[in-house]
Amino acid sequence: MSAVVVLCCGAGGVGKTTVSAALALRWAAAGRRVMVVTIDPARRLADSLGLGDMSSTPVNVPLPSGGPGRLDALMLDATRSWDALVERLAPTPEVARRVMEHRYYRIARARLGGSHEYMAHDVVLQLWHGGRYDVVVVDTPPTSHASEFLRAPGRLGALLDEGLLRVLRMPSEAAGWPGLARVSEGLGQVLGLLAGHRTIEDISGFVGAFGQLSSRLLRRAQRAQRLLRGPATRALLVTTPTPAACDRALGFAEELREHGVAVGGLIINRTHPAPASATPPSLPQRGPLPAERWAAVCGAIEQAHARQRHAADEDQRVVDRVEQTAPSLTRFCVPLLPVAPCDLPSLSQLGPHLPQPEWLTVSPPTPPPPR
Amino acid sequence: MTMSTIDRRIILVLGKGGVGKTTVATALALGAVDQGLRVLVAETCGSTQIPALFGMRSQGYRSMKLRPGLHTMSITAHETLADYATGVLKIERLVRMLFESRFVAPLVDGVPGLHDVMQLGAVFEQSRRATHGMARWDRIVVDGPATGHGRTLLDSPRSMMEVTRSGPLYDGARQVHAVLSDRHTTGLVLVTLAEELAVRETLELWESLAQARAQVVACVLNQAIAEPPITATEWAQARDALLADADEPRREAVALAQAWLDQHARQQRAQRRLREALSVPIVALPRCPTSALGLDALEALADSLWEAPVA
Repeated sequence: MSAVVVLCCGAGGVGKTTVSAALALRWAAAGRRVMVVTIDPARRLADSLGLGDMSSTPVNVPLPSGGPGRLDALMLDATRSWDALVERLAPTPEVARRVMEHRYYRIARARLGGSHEYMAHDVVLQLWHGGRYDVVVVDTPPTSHASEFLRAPGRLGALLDEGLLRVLRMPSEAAGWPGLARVSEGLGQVLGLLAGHRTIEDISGFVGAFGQLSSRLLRRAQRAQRLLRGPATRALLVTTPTPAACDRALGFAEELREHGVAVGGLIINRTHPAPASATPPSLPQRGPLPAERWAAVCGAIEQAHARQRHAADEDQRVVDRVEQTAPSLTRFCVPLLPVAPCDLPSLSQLGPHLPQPEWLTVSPPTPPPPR
Repeated sequence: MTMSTIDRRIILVLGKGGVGKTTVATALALGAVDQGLRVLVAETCGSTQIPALFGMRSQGYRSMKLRPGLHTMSITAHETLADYATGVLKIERLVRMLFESRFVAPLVDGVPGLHDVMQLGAVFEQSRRATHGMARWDRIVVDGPATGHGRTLLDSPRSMMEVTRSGPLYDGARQVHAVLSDRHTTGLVLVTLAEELAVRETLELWESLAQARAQVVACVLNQAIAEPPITATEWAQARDALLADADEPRREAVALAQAWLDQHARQQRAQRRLREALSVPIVALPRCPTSALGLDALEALADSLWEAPVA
């Protein structure tokens, strides 16, 4: 059976990486074979899983609970993954060498727009087919638009597509653009004017070398797109409990649906749990401190209680508001822990508040494919 | 010295997602407006959060007035590049055709570092803008990209120079680099939280900045919690007496107070670590009591940021 792919999406700083790790841990503890993939360059996932240095090969995380489940973690290193990909896709070692020695490749490797996303898609595709996992959790990189993660590989593929190379060399043959080709001296000339002829020549050279890989690369990107838009994939939006952050997350959900990705729920992270007792506690009149200092101690306790209540009320209002605006979206409220979770025991405290394993078996409706 | 003495014309606000860059950038801008400056606060990567703070709808790339003396815009690489292309080619129709073609968009997105350098290029362009021989903006505050790759952003003009080696893009990148790496013109403000992870990331960012460290004017420790009215020693003395024969509500409240003290202690440690590692003023910005950040709260933040001693 193929795996379920779970995309954790959200703005930067909402706790996507922590939530991804906690989800993977929860499902693995329930007996699933889970892989969690992160693209975060800050190595946060490695930290939270208690792995000192996560490499770009999968690392097994020993489950504290034991049991039949399995938890593996993988952190993508764009530089190394690119080299591996070029080696795999190049028709001959000679082509691989030519690509990797190109000045542009070395400059571009780590910075090439969409390369992280492309690698993530490629890895997910591999893992999904491999049959070794029941669930693949993907911690997506922070972006200002949810669709960025989906679109980036396609764009990259298009850049490397031979079509572009043809335009740069023989603009008059550019399909679908005969008008401009005739009017101007050619797109290559125009681009040369904009970016410098030497730059365009350099790019042509690079694209030329890469061109021999690009059709396979593009095909893989398209297959990954189909996977992410298919019934095997569902997205979880992660947000913090502020009105602005929730609005953003709901916007993300809409964007994902427009791109054909099924949305399986909204995780409202770091909500303040309401104190069990709504009224201030009764405190002793006197204690082992001078009266004035004892009063300060009691004041601090009352203040801490009142503040927690206030924060919990505020969060609840935000949650209610989400419920009104998006009643069909399943919500999961994850409490704020006193200390940000940084190891397996603290991550597993989040487990009961997250989507349970049964959630994986129910497919959310797949939106129609984008036009 | 206070933040109000910062006199750089361009201020780039950097930090990881979620630390409150947008809030700090807006508060810095409001503070400058109060000094009588004409201010532009610019968002990057097409982000459009700021107008909503003022109850307005974003107009995207077009700069819009938020209040007297304060404008905002949302920078995107595509629109900047289209601007640039119009400037070079002088034919708007041709530019439109170029940018709408299915061949050029991937080129724009795919060329390494082009996005970053274009966004900085937009900042540079705004800094040159003038009416009647007078600079349009006295100060430009830039809310850095959410991806937190501050270093990549700052390096992008140089990368572009390295990639192009000559030609108009090279010349443009060189100009942008000259202005944004000039410590008298461009200042950096790092934003962080008093949390282990956030502090570690800020220290990493500081390390990676290399020569650009000289441009950092301050580090804002955002969402700082209030100091408890009691000392740790007093609390240690009081705890046992409080918990003796305590009912459940009291136990819970005592635990909440304990959490407050612990969190404040961690915050102090974080602040100390930053102070030791960073040779710039650390400004603590108090946590806003409400999650829905309104204009009043923002102005209060601006005041406390502006008047905060940064010694």
